Amino acid sequence: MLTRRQFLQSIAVTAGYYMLPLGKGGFAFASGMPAQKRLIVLFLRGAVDGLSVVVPYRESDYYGKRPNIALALPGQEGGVIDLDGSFGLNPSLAPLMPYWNNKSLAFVHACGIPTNIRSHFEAQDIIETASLDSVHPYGWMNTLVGVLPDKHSSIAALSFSNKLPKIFTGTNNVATVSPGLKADSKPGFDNPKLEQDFASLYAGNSALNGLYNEGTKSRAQLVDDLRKEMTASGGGAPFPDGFPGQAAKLAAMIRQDPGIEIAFMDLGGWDTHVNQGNGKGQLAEKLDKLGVGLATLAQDLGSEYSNTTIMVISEFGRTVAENGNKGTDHGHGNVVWLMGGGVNGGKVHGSWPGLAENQLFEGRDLAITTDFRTVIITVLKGQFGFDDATIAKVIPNFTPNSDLNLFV
Amino acid sequence: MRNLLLASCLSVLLFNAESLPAAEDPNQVLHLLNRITYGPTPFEQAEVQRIGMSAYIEQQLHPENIPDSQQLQQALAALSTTRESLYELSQQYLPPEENLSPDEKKAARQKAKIVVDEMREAKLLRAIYSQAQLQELMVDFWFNHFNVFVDKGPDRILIGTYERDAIRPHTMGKFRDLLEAVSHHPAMLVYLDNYLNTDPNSMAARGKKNGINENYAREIMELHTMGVNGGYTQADVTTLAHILTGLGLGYGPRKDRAEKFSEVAFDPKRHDFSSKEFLNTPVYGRGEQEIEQALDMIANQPATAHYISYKIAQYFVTDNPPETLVKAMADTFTRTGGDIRSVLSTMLYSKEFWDPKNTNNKFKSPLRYAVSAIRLSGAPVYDMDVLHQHIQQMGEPLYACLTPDGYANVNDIWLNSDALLKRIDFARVTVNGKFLKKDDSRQSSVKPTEVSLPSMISAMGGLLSANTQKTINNAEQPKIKPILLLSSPEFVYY
Repeated sequence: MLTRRQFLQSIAVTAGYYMLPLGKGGFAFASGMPAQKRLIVLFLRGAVDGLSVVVPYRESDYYGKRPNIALALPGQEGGVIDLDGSFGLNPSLAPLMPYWNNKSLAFVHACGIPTNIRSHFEAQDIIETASLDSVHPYGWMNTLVGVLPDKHSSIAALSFSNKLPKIFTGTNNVATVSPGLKADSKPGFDNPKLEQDFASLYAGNSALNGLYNEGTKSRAQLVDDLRKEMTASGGGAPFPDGFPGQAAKLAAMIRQDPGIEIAFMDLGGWDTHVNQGNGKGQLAEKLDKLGVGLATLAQDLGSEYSNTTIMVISEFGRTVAENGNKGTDHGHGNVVWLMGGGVNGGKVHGSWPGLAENQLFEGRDLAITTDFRTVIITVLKGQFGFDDATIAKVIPNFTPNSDLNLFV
Repeated sequence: MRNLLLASCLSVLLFNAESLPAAEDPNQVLHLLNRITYGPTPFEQAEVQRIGMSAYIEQQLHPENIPDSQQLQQALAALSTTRESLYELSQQYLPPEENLSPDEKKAARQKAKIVVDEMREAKLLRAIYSQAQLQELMVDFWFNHFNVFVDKGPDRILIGTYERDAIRPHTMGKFRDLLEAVSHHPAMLVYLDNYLNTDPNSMAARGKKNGINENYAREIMELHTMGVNGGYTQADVTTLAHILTGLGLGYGPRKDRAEKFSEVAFDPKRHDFSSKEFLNTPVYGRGEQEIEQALDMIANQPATAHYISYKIAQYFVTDNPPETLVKAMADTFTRTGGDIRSVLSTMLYSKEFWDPKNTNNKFKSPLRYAVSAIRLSGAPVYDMDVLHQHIQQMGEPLYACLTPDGYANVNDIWLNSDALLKRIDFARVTVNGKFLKKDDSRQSSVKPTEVSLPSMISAMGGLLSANTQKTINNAEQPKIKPILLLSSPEFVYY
């Protein structure tokens, strides 16, 4: 029996492409098409505990302040996987180690919003608008759609969610895809006359007219993408449940339609105020699914992985000290994850502020040494080659105050 | 058979008014019904014409005088778990202990499913068929304002009584009473973890209850009262967390697990009795009274009057309510000691509420869309669970918003390309379907009820645009006409 992954490794052959290994697990099509650069953002809503993701295991204060929830040293039972001699990865994220080792996975630690915001909802809005003024109306990924250099696909940007995430709000057309979309979902109307009736119904309303056109077009195309994928796999290999399944669907859509340049997904449930666990437990179980999903996405993207950057971000970090219930409360600095063909990986970037009492923000939280907007800007420049004027359209009123060497 | 008859009887409820000469501007009536009900029905359009808009508003502001119809009572009567006490429910459905194997957990969830299903069914029945429509909207509003999540620990058993006992009685009463009831219900204390919040230096601090948890303290101020820019600091959050230490579930060696989870109690042995400063005011360490003092202080903050008014205005008037309206409502809030009915009254008689630019400008949430489509068409619902599945697919599973901010009620969240197509899908199901599961034996015995296009059009007042009317008139298939109406810009907005 063929596993889904084996099938995907074979699909390139059945699809008749010649693939050239590029190293770093990526492949490139030997065709004349210019590579379509792409950004996928995954938002971890609820503030993931970055100190349990990329663990500063050399810090005695880390162990001192977390008697019940610290992750053990490398080599110990449930211990972290050493990354660089100072930091270790949560062992639930082991599926990502091949990408660390081939230098296409990097982290930026002590990163975040440079104010004392500790509200989930306001902080999420700030990250999604890339503006400290949380009433800023537009999401930066929507603005990004408008400045992309070439549009080979009729779907430039897509979000996997029932609701429109703030990061996608704005004036450019974006597609939302229901996470439940399947290869056998109805693509639209079975009868062209009906389609005309509905087109006429929305003709007088520009907002709905745009959404209707975008919706019918993208639904039909994405269902078609999934169908082709199912046909290629002999109708077997259904998508798994949860995030790994969504990641596999997204990869399938991009494989079928490499013109998809922007994608967004979010995952909730990271607000671990109680019984967070360490190498095992609540948080580790969630990280496990996340790790499997990201590895699936990277793997299933196949040759497109080399053209893709995946950024994983959360609204803020959590308190350095554990709280009274073996959990953590809302904190400050966090870690941003980057994966992809162009990423300068195998490194923990950013300057580490330390965890001693006098090094903490407001005496309790990991300090921030890198503004989250600096990371976004560096990614946009590295991935799309934007100049400062273009960057200013997407992330207005901000100039990075530090250089990050995030791309090779 | 019972459900079959009931579904037909109930749908008649939406259509049993005699038509009377127009007394009021039908567009204004429609606006009122769009905003203070789950959507117009031919019956209510006629009823408002008959008694006038002011009388209708006054009626809706006093839900205690609006009895449930016999049919609705009968349908609700079948949902026996919705009437049981918190203790009875805990005794029957709470998993026997905390450390269950995954299989035992699954079995316990399966057993408790009936509690969740019946709670959802009751919510949908009332939303569609109750005549106390403003009350049902206010229950929805406050539930989301004080959101708890059905899948957090034992909350699937506690959450129905939370809505029934803590929220429903206070929807139009004093805000302080509502805050008290919510903060003293096990569902909230479990959801935002305060049942564990303990002074680390207290006598009983040990094990899982070994120190401070600031989750609830933060959300009380940020989400429930003052709003994120309400003027409190991180120090206030920490202090409030200390004030709230010991407010938790029932405790003591003689209590069984069901008793513990169905009671709220203050445990002085876990409380921080030191004196504190909160919102620039001294709070002397005297135990449970500190909590009442702090809640009084929070409820009386001008920021609270403003934030609550803003959120109500956003729900009923427009996504970004004008400051003049919010201020008028906040003034009423302050003058009346937080009387919600008075705040609603100020809003409903304001010029902003009736401003034409605030009509038909809000995109319906999945729940509101689904319920309004059934109300307008009179389509019978044979299986509420099937209806709920549709609402879930549109993105608003009931009682299942994970985060404490609840489902938002603004266009930015709900208006997107997939949402519009799903509204069209739902309109087709409403007109062609029966809301029955595929394997239901009634599939063959019932036929979708013919919906009456003229009565739907008449209930929409004069709001349908010329383009919508033309599109409906030009549609070749008669069956597509009501689907077009339910998908029209004038109906997907309200």
